Amino acid sequence: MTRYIIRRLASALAVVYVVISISFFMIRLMPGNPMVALEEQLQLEGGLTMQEIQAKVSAIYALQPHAPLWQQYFTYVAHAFQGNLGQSVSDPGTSVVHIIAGALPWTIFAVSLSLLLSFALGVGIGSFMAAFQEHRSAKIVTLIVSFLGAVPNYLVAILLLYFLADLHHVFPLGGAYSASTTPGLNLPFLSSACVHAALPVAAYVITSFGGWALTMKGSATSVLGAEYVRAAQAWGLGRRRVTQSYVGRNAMLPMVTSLALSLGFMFGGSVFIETYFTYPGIGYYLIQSVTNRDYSLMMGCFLLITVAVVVSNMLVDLLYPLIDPRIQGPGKVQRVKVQSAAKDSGTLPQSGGLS
Amino acid sequence: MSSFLRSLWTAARRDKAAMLGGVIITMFIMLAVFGPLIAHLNPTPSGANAYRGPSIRDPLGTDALGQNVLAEIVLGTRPVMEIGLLAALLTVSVGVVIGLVTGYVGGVLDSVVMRITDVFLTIPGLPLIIVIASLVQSSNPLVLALILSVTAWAGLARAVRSQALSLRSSDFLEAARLQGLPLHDVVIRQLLPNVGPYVAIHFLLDVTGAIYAEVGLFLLGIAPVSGTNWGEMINVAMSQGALFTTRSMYSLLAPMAAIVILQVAFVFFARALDVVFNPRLQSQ
Amino acid sequence: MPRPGLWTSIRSGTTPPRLAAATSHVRTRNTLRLGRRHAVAVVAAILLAGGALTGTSAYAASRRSHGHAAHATTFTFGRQGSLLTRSFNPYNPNWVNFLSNTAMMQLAFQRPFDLLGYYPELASSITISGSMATGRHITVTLQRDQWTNGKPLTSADVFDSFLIEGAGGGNTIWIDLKNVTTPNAHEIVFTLLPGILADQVMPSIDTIIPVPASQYAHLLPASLKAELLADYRIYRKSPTNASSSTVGKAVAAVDKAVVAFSPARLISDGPYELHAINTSEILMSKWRGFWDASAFTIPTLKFTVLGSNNAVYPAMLSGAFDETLVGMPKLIVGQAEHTPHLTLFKNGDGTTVKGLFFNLRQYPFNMRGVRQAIAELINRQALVNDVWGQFRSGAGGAQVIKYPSPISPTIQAAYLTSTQVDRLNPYNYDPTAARKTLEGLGFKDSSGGWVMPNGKPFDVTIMAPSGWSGPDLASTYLGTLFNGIGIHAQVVEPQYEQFYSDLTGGNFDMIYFWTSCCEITNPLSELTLPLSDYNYSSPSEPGLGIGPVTTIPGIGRVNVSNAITREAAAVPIATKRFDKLVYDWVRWFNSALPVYDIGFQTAFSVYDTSRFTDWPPKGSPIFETQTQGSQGQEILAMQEGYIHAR
Repeated sequence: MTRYIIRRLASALAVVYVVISISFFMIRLMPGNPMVALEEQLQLEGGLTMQEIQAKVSAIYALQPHAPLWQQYFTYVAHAFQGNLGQSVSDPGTSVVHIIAGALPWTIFAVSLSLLLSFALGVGIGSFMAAFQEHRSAKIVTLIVSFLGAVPNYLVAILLLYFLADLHHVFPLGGAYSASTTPGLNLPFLSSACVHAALPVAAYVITSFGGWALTMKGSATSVLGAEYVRAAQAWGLGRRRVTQSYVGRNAMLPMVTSLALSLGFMFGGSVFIETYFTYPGIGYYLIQSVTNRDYSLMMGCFLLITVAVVVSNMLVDLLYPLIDPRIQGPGKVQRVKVQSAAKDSGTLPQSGGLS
Repeated sequence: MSSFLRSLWTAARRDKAAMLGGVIITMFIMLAVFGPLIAHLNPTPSGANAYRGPSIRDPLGTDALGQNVLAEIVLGTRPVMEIGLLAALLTVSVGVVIGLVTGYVGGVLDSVVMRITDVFLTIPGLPLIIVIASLVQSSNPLVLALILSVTAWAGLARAVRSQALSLRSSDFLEAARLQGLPLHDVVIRQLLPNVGPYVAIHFLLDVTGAIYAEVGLFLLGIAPVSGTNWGEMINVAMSQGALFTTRSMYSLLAPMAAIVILQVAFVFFARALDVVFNPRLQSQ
Repeated sequence: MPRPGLWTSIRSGTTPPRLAAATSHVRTRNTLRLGRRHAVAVVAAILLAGGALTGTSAYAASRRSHGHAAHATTFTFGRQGSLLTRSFNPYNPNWVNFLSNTAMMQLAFQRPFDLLGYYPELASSITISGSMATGRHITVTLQRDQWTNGKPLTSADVFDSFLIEGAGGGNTIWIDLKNVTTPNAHEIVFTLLPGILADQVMPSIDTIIPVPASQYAHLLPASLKAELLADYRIYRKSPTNASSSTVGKAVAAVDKAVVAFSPARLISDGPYELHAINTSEILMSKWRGFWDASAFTIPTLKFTVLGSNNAVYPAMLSGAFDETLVGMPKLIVGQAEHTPHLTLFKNGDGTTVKGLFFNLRQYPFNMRGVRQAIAELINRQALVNDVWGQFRSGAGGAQVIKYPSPISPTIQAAYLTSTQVDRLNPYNYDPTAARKTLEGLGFKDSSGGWVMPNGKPFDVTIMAPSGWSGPDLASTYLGTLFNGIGIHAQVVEPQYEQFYSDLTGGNFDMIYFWTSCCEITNPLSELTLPLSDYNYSSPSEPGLGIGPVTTIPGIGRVNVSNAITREAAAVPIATKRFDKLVYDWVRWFNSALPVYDIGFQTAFSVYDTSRFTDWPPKGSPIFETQTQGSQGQEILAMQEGYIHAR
């Protein structure tokens, strides 16, 4: 087990390492190397010695602009692993980590709320669809659910924002909380935060619970057809007992895995929604830094989003054996299988692996 | 192949939604191919004709520059479909080739390539696409398709590989090998047909994924816009406040509806393939 | 003095700032403030409605009657922008512009069309003495005002702020300055160089926003004033030598330190103090230490800052904001005009000229014939009438420029004789002539589109700032137009900050934007925007690529950026020499066509009378006043006894 954990940790670190490398080369190999451009600008502005200029550029990009490439690379990687991602270009003097730390709580809040609601709703509706497969209402629900699952979330965001915030001021126009409340553990602030998150969360839930529902339906259907369920029914166990203990539990196992795996990916999927609702999470900062060409912040956001995925994947792999007693040894979960199971039943959310 | 089509037809006949999806996709493909022959924009746009409500001449009204919205939808189909299909094609080709080759060849190549695949499987696609698109700043369809397929291939490669692995140990491949058939022959004649339906479903979903991201990029103005496409139509309609009058609404709602209809069509059509691929579902 | 990259120091990550006083002197830094504020305001005008909108409004039926309850205590401004990054230092690029003239006041508001007239703010009086021959003295006397940390406002605060502006190059009065002194705690005296007109530097003094010396003095060495005066002495002879000189470097170092300074809290002196701020809202409460605090009856101000224009429109129409400043397309203007509780008013920023910039360092736009051909490919009248729209409300509005030059038609009429005007090229819409011109230059119209003489396809990228309805629609219009005639065009719309950096950095093909600005009385000042602010404002920023040294018929071989700035500042208006300069520049602009000017427009804002009434009457000079930030007009109106809660 220990060996497995170590191996799993190592592979997670390897992924993070690769992503850091990608982000290094993306900055470094950009057309019109942004570091050199910044350096030239500082030189022309005057007032700084060459050393000061280099110190400044290296602070912003967390590497030494004039060292040989390999040396720059190692400095960058070493800094990144120490949590130094440089400074924001558009917000001089502020570290990228500081900005991200301010944005992260909002994304985590909105993302986990969205995911849990979407999951709960999806599982409920999916079970319904599985239980009443032949029933007309279940077929209609299936159609509606697959329809909603195919609608791009930003279109729903546009409509929600327009009707419920802009036109009828049911929900706030944007932001994460009202400036008239004081951040902290107090009721006005917490309720303000919830009200502000309502529309972004709704936009996500509306377009994503369908995927969960269809996955749940698929999962429950296959369990219903499994031999042990038939056996249980043959033994004369009550319908309720069978659905709850046999079908429910076994159908839920793959669902829980997918849930955990989605958590990380949702950090990336929140980009459009956060931007539309001017919700100050990591996705909004990513778009802002992209449009401002703030490369260090951009790469910081990207790196953080990736780390979120890596960490949640790792946790699933490590915790899965605790959830599923059928898996004897650790590391038997194949992430891909879970995902492809979802794909097989046509339920992969509209982003087709892009979320 | 013909048996595949036959069972697809049977499945589609049983599932009206899938049938409808197939019809809609065919229609959009026709529009993408022949659209520019039938629809034309006014080369000297004029605000004097702006926001005409729906009429026989302009079934979906006109936009802020007096362009016929229906014509724009038709013309916008090609870039959207082109990039979506191209991206899905790239995704699927890369995924299948890598999956089949690693699965069949195995060994060091397999483990090295699979480690790389794992990395791409972990990197969240959308943020990476946004970052690359903003750096590359190209409106070339092929470049955009490449960007859109940058991570999507990994999942497929994994899945195809596991299919290939299980087939490798099966009898008929063993037989083929004993007959001394060359590698490409084995792959093309034996492996490919077996992963075909799965790949087809993946392809359809990749198209929806690519269109989702592509329209999102245009919508947020991250990728430069050349000519008419649906994302840019929504972008312009939004910035001109088209949602505010019933006459102008169509210029915003029409491209939105087009995207939704196309996405839903792909997803529904994928269900038919799903049934063909997965006979267990068929029996239910 | 103007230095490369300085624009970054005032570039705001937050909001379009209200136009600073429009003057030839307001260079880099102020022009930027001026720029964004103005540009956004003008976007409002771009698409102001033509004909009456008869369509039923999607919102009208559903509008709720809210906000009528009791007595409104909070006045809400609706704005487009982002507060993701914010600084409490006015010289930091992320300065929250909404704090200008709410929390941080300027010395005075210049009265419209009157360079010497002003509404007193932190300055109780500004007097001019001495003769032009020996150099005018301008004495600013301060109000008895208190900072929010309890300290009184003194001349030391103003003096320090003025030094900072000199170091940053934001206040070009430094070019014309002999000395600046503080004889006592309430007075600061500016002594101009001999021959400099007081009225041409007055706006630069009005717009100074003092920062507290208690926070900023530690950044300013005692020798700074002497260094600045020496630096600008060198600059007057050679701008390049100034930045490389020892004093120049010392001054630049101070500017760096000031820009990087990030105070933890805002110490302010205006009628309102900052109460709370987050990524989308600012709350401000009344500050009793303000010298005129009794004039303000509204206890709280609020800014709601939304990410895009299209989020602002419905909120504005449905009554969420008491005053809104945002670029409005004509549909929205039509809706606003049909909404009983909303009133459009002409914005103080007056008029801007809109048109196309060509990058003169970029093939094929370095060829005059190409620029002229493009001019003839565009139907200016159609673009102005149909795309920009006409104002239903009459006054102002959009008007096509008959003889393309960056000087607005009214001013053209005032300074040029009709024979002079008749000699200018009207560039009438004539696609056939344009094709001939292009073919004459070696361009070929093949089946795959136009091919340039060098054999490459004629591809153009049109750039406009993102999220601004006017440039957005106009650039889409131009893109369609070019594609329709076989010139492959793509439209790129970066965020404003990036757009501005690309513009001044010369990193573009063609840009659609406002090419000169402001309803001001000095036509040479209007030319400083395209020729100096957008063009070689520093050696590293080639901008439009005009020059830097080029021959202007009638004027001679000059460094265009420097020449126009100096001439606008020092040549007295209403002299023969001035009129000749105007004509020479206009004639050159019209024939060389480095910038193709299409039309001019007036900007509008919107106020809501559901909660607050007693707004200044239409046409009030208050609305035409130009201020820093984007809310000075409302603050001024409140101070003048207008705007009360129902």
